[in-house]
Amino acid sequence: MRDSTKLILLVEDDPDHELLTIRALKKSNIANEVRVARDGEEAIELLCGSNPIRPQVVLLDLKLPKVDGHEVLRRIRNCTTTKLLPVVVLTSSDEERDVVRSYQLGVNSYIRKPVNFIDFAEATRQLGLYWLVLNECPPLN
Amino acid sequence: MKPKTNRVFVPSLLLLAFGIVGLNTWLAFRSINSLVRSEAWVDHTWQAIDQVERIMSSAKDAETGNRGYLITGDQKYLAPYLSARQELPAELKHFQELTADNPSQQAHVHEMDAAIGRRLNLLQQGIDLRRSGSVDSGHALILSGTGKLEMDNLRRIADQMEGVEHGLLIERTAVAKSSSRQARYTLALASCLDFLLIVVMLRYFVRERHMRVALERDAERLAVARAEAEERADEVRSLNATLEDRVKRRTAELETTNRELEAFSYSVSHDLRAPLRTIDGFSLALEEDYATLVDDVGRDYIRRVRNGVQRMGQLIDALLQLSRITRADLSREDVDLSQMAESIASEFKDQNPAGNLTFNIESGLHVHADPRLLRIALENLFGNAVKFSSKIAGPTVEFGWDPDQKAWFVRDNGAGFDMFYSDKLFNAFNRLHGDKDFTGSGIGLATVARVIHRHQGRIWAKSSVNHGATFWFTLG
Repeated sequence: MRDSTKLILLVEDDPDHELLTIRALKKSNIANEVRVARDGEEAIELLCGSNPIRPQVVLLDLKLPKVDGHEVLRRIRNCTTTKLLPVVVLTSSDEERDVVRSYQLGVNSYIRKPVNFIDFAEATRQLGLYWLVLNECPPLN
Repeated sequence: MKPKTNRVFVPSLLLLAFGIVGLNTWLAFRSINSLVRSEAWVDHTWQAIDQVERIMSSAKDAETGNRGYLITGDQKYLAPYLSARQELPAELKHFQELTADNPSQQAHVHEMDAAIGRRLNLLQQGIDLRRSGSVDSGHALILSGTGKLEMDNLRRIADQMEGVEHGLLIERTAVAKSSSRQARYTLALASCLDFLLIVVMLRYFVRERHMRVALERDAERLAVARAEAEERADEVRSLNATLEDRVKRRTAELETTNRELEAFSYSVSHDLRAPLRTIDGFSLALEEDYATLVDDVGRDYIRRVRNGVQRMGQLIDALLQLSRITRADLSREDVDLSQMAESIASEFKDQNPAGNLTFNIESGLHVHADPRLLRIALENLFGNAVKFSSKIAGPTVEFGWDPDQKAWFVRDNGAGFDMFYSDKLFNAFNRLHGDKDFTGSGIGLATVARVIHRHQGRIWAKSSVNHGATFWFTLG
């Protein structure tokens, strides 16, 4: 169990978006460590594997190769150690069924990424502020 | 003949037949009876005549026997006399019985009885004299010779009796003849009537049989027709089954297509927006991080790139909205249309705080429709009205109910359009104005039209260039 103070887990298959998200976080003066998982499997491994990480919040894209975002969310909620972990879905889709399914699976927040980068950066800033500063997380065991 | 009349006709015909046959039988019976009776009377008359002759012959036997005895004195000649004498009263009595109905004959019987009595007495006297021997045969004969007169008298009475009977015989023979004639006529008539009846019945039954045969043929034809109908029904059923199969297949295909469309729009929603965000993000990063390396023209290019991205983002959003409207379930409820219009109008006013935008919205409008879809339609219509009247001095948007057209309307006093292109008005991506004049996706009115059609309504517009435009719509 390593120190994971204010660690953010970003589950994102698109390196461009990864870069832009990290940049947006930096722009918002959120200097937390960001761990990136390229697909669902990797995310599950990081969270519920042999050497699990304990992030403050998981930023989860829905459209992922191999195991998709909803499946990752379902497994996070089924795993005792990560059951209470705050998960924010951050995705391009605002399809109603995606939103509903995410909430059914116990997501804490659902954010649709705006096309406009300025808007996106603003959304990321607020996210960081809320989940890393304001929100009282469940105790990390 | 209808079965109903048949039900009454056949029994009444049979009843009539029975009646006629019965009447004929009775008539024949009666005429034969009267014939038999008259024949019996004729026979009876003959018997009476015979009886008269028998009496006369007995009288003659008595006479002859008597005479033989008187002449010969031989006892054996007395036998006929004795037997005649014995029989005569009975024979007379028999005649009396035979003619009991005839008073004149009864009178004759008495007269004859007396005459025979007298004659027999004379004969007896002659016999007695002869027996005693007091007289000889000649004298005895003379004694009884007066018998000639008596015999003649007897003969006369007998002739009268026979005359009466012969008269009766003529009468009765005539009656018998007429009876027999009547019987013949009656029988002939009855036979004719029976024959006629048989003919009528035969004709009726033949016709009945024909009708039955015709009915059977009809029934056969009906059965054939029914079988054919059944066959047709089977065909229809099998066709229906085929049709249902086809419908099922088509439905399945449609469902597949729908799923594909959903997958497609989902992909569009996700996959197309992602690279856009990338373009926008890195364009901005360029602008921010490498500002010193890019001059004004470069910055202008970056701005244009970002504008393009925004436009495309809006287009994708509009398309997604259009596809969502097509897929969304329609749930109607009572909608306060005036209130909805007011809230949309206030949003537009907030977006143009500097604008002198005027909305005239009729109050108290209600409709039974899907509020979410209806709001999208109204937003698009108002958006269009606001957009195309943005370049004139006093832009005014009206919304209300048009009783003439029996439809709701959205009217603006803006740029309008040429009615020549009105058929392209509601097609996606068809635009009647260039981007230099009015920016737009070309999907707004297509979205409106789709909402209206989902409500089984109609939408149409009227306009002329620079004189504003009016859009009417109904909601089914």
